[in-house]
Amino acid sequence: MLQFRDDPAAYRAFILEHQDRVFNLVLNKVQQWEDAEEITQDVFIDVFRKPEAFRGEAAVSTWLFRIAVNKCIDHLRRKNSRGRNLFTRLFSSLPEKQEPADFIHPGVLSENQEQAAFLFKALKQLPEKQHTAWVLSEMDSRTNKEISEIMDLTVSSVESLLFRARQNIRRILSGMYPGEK
Amino acid sequence: MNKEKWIDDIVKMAKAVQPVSSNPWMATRIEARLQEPVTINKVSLQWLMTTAAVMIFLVVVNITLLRKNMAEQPAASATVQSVINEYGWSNDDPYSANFSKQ
Repeated sequence: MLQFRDDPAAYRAFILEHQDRVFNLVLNKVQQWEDAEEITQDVFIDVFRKPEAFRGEAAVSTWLFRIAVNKCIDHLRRKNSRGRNLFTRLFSSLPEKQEPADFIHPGVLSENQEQAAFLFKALKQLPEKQHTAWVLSEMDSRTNKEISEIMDLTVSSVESLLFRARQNIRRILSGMYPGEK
Repeated sequence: MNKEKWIDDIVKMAKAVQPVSSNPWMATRIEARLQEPVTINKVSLQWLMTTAAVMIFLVVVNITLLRKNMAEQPAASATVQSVINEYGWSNDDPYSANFSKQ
């Protein structure tokens, strides 16, 4: 169904059609431009190499988003464990990548960047599933049904995740309120 | 500014984030990556070093324990010998063996 091996033009057209949406989702999730680019490339490479994984049960875009979300989760887990692993820290030959203090999203107007930084900082503290559901719902404007297909959950589970995510974001932001310092 | 309003404004920021355009060369880069030969995953240097360190540690512990054991061996033999002598068990004849202390 999605065989691109013999049709490079169709493959290129497929990438051009979906790359921006996949990239934006990944960028909102990993909050790092270079990592987002690499993960997006990985998503399309997977599509080329394993087209049989698409069984046609959902829309192609849903399938693409599912791959992207899973890759983001793997990436964030790897990144977190890299910081915790003693042996990796001892024997790592590569210098540790310095994280920017606050993620500045290129799609945010300059006058809103300070507020957006608070939002992205709060998002980082959310549990994985709540984070994914919230990004898909609030930043990518996906319906609960679409989110349930992407995350392989029931609609009621997504609703519950979103409810908890909204509560947690408010709680985290409440702790960041500069007026109380 | 009150706290609740500040939080509301920040949460609303999510809708104000505009989608950005990805790299226009993304498709070309992906095609280039697909042309690259598939590399076999090699064991990373850090895991090799970790395994080597663990192996060396285990060998050192084993040698140390072995040497300690060997050093203690004559004393242990002497103790066993003295018990055998004390109870007269050096005799191979089972009928004359005396299990009470002489």
